Amino acid sequence: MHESILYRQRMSAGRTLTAMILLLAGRVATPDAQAHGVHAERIEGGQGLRVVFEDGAPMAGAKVKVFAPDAPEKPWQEGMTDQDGRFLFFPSKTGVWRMVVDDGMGHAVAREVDIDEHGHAHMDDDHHHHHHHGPSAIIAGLGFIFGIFGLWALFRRRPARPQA
Amino acid sequence: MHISDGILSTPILIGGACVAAAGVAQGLRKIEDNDIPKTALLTAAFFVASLVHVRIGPTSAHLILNGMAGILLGWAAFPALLIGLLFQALLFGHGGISVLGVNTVAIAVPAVGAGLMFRRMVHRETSPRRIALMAGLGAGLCIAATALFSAAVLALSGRAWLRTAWVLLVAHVFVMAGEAVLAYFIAAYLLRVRPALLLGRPLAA
Repeated sequence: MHESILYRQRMSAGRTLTAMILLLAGRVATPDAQAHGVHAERIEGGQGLRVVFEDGAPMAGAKVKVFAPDAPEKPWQEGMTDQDGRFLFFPSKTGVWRMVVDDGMGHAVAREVDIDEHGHAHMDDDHHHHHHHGPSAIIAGLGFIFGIFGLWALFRRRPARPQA
Repeated sequence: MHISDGILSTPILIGGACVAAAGVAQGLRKIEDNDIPKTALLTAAFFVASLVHVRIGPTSAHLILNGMAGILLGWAAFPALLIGLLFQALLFGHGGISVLGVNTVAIAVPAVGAGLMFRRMVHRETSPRRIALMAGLGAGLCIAATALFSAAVLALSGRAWLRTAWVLLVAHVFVMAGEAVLAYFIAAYLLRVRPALLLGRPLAA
């Protein structure tokens, strides 16, 4: 009884040793075939956006969804803007790619980038989406508002004042 | 607190537009001739206030002034805020045209609520200090209610309600405090120069 336990232990120790030797041999013989081997190379470029609020503050940590040209429903990639409100991705084919950036608080921007057959990117017009908040817009808005209320007051008051 | 175009689902946009239309109709019915200049002034103030920004960490919040509008205008805040939002969308790109109804509801419902609450609380109050404090409290709570309302609308289009509400509330803590202080001073000033504008009656009976 006692001996058979010892024997079994020795057998199992022998099997473990054999397995370790085989594993080691495999490692040395085929370094490239390792499941955990990772290689990194430097890349540059990509397509992307920088998103800022109208006061110039970057929209940091906002959720980004990228939609491939042939699949407008299901996101092809999801990510997040960095501290400076930037996000980059790498289109894998030609066509119009759509990026949607959403800060989760009701602010969102959607932009499209068109990749042509030469790999060149064409972004939809920046001026289209940019609003000027200069003094002229403020003055224009105030003018409209007071104008509307002025006309409203004029038309409301008129019939209600029969002169004696 | 402007929700942008393309975030909400169509039924919510339509629902928001319907509620906003009802609120605006009620506001137009309630408004009196003599209130029109006051309404114009608050619309203008609301329109410009959105350009005053408060930055907290990664978020960016701006003054809203809807509480003040509700306290001074009551139901007339509905058409006033709609017009203000329309020009913010057209000229500044805040929010958008398709979300105009929803944004109006999210901003005007708390405003009218704050206004009605304020009127009820100061019904027989004669202490200018206490009235001004209530105006400040009303304006502050109005921002919190607006944040919760916006979060609820976003949640109806599939967002996590609690998280969105929390983020919006935290982002608006300083706006809340700022508007409460501002409303306190505006109310205190109006009580000195023209109490009827704030209370709809003279200060002392």
